[in-house]
Amino acid sequence: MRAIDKNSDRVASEDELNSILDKIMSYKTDGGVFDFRVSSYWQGYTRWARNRVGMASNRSYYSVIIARGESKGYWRLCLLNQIDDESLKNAVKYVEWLSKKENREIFPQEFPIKLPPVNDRKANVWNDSTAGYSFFDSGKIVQLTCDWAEKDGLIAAGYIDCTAFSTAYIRSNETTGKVDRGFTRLTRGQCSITAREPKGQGSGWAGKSDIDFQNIDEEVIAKKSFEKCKASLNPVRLEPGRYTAILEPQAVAGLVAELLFADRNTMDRADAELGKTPFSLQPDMASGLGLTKLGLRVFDERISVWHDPSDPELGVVGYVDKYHGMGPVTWVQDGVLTELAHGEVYSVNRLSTENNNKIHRKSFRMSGGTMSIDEMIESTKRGIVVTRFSDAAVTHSGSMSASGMTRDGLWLVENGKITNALRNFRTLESPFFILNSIEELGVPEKVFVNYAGQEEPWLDFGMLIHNFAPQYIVPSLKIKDFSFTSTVDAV
Amino acid sequence: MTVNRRSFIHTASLASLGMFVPIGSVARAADMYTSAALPLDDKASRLRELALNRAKDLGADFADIRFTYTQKLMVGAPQAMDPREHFAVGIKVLVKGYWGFASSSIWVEEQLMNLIDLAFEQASGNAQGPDRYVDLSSFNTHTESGSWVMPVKYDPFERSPYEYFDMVKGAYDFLTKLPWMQQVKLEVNFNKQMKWFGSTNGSRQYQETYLSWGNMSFVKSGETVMIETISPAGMGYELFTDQDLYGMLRRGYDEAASRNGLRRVPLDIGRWPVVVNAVGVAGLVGGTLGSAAELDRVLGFEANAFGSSYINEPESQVGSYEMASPEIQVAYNRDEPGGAATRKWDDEGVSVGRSGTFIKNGVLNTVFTDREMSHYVSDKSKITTGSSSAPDASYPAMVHSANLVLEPRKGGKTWYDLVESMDRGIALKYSGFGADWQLTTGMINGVQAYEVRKGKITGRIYGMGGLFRTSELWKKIGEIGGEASSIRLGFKSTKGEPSRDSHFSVTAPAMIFDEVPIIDSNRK
Repeated sequence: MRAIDKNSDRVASEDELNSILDKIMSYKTDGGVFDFRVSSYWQGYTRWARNRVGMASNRSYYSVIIARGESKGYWRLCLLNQIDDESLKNAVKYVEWLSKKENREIFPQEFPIKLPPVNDRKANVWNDSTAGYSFFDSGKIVQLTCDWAEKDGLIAAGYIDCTAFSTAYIRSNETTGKVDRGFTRLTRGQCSITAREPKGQGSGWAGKSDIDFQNIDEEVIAKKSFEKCKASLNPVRLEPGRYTAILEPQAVAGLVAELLFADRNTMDRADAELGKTPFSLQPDMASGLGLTKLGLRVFDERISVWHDPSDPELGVVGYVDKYHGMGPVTWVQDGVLTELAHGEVYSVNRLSTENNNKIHRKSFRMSGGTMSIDEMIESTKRGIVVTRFSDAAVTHSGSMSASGMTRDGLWLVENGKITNALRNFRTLESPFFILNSIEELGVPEKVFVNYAGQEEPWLDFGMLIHNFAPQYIVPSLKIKDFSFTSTVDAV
Repeated sequence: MTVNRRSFIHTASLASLGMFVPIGSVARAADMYTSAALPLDDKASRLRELALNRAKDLGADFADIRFTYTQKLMVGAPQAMDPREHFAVGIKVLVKGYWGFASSSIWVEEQLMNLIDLAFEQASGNAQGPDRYVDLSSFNTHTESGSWVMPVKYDPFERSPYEYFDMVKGAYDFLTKLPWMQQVKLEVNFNKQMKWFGSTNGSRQYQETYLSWGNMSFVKSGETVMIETISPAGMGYELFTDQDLYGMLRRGYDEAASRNGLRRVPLDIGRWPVVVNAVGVAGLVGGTLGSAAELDRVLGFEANAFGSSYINEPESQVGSYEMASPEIQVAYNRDEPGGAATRKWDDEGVSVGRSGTFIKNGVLNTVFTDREMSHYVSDKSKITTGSSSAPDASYPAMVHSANLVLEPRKGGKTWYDLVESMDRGIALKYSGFGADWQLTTGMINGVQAYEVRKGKITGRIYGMGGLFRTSELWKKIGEIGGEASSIRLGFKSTKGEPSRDSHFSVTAPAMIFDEVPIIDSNRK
């Protein structure tokens, strides 16, 4: 068990954030609709390459959003990353001045002023061990993995990241006439390692991300990446074509998660009605009231997809803010499309219901089966095992055909056994084809999601926290007739 | 060493950073930034000395510190104005050959001392391993001090934000009155960054840079029209005022309307010559040539992130590796007026020098490096230093490409001339591309592609994908366009863990690439 750094206050506590909010409140000189938010963020990381640590870093930030609501749903707002008295005073004065003096409506943060009731679920998204990760101790672990790589004649590059985030708000509530307060916080950790043969003849990768860094074992990840690298040496070239593909969970995430379920635009109900997504059935651009595929079977009946803030493994932020829904959503049930994402405005205007948001979350869980990768290999006469994809991108939005490349481990299966490492392929396939061409399903597992460098949630008024650092739990899949279109020289 | 947040907040609360300046009206965009009137220079300069002295006292072999204050303004149509400001301070220390870095948004003394301790803690944790060689001599050179302000014609923060609003709103009203107009996107963006740099080798620098860019695009009859020349540039408001934007929008509309009757034609797969416009060529230059010559990619430091490079032995390859056809000449610079990567000093305080040759007669002539990686190449004439860049002080800097200029053919052809010169092939008005993690192979996506027969555009093609091996693509050049087809584009380069952006410019003409393998990427 790794020692937890004594410093567990890397991000501000609820009390500390509230004390800043109280100050902001004390600087307010008039009434009206307001929304103040203070966030605190910390990121620590260690990065290494060529079997030596390159850089370890510790980043710590505040953000303050001061917003005042005006008529017609517009907001005057000020964003800053300072928390001293003068800066906060200036910001409040500035927003108040803007509200009084500025009559041109050009600050259109169009959010409904009428607030829906708040459903404050407590989700399992925070972990002390992640927030307190000791980067002093990690130096030893990283060096150990580098030593192993050298003994194996490999070159390793890797990255460990821990992030913690806390946010609190205070705002007027027009419905109750009172003041609402709220607080939430989350952690994320990740580790990934790429091992390469020094002359570029083989490459292996492994990684994991989780709310709790104690669920991430750097030594296991290192050994897995080394094994994959060694197994990928001396690859042979196979003719492009359609082959049975055994997609490891990370490969499933690369095509199915990133392009389909985690993509906000693809899952949007209004866009489907406009004919902009593959879930559109009969678009109507003029009225925006076209038909969607809701209620229709769109995938193999063994596929269900959902998220639930009470899912302790998935780690979806339950409570976010007044603009975002909080509850569990099942997007696909037994292959049938059951929900598409929509917000409060859509609920009220189109569905005539309040607080019926089905807000898109990047995080999701997909149903699976019981087979292991080894069992899938044993049952395959001729096929290809894929570790993961690189740079998958949609080439046709209607069918969601996507081009990507295999990388970091690709093997030929013949008569139930791996017989050769393969040169990489460019692929051209749609997540819809994949989820309708399933031969076998593996046990769902949490995969690596690289959140480091994602859009920083504390900078956005809409607060992207509900989609920061998503988690995917997906199975391995055995797919028939997967399209490998051309070889790729990169190793 | 740990940060005691409670005591810090208390201290910060007591800090007096300046006085509120009453604003009578938003006559200047700068008035929208509540911290703009604060005495930032005094503060940053004082804290810089405290921090560097502390780092020396603790025994750092080397340390540098950056303070950045960034103002950002986005104005969009029909109604959007988003002013933001961002403070950051970042300190980097070298202890026994290992680096530690810490950064924060708060510029107060106690926080800064904590940052230094954290950076030491990070470096010391890593220093538990075997000795790591760092060539300190490269850190003890480049000891320049001074100040530099990027010259711009119109400081965008000294003008009223409503001027920008009126400009985009006017364009919006103009475009939305035209028939069959869809997906109108109009916005302008301005960034101004003030940076204070100091290092234990004595450098003390102040640098002020601008980055402006916009998005003006619409869809007319299924054709995307976009003003390419407002991509990121080291310019002020003149990026927009010195161009005939209305004229360009109108001409784009008329041109799209003229192609309204074009029939959709099936895509003939096979090998075809492809005319790529300057935007597409510039993207390929930056993404497959410039990025490949960044020494951290070359040496494998990016192997677990955005990938490595087909250049892998810089010592022997610089001066001999044939990257492209002998017709291809590419220059690099960091002093080009308006260039997105134009600076006086990089983010390690190293003077960026002047211009030079990146590719000479198709042969690689240099690789881009920062201070530390320079020691991996013993012949210093083969490297270009001053290539270290970070978006702000919250991130450690990384190696990024300089501005690049692909030499056009003198008096040569425009994109339209190149199309006319082709018997049969494909013309790309808009295209993108994706390359593998070593930049060895890739695919050009024909976003707006046309069939060409006997010099005429005869139909619209959908789903065109042009596969390429980088080395073959740049060696099979059909024709290089002329100066009239050449334009400068700004690009965002993303790399690292955590990923971070930097910008650079590429100036390139339109070109014909021969024998490009074409596939149908829409095939079901």
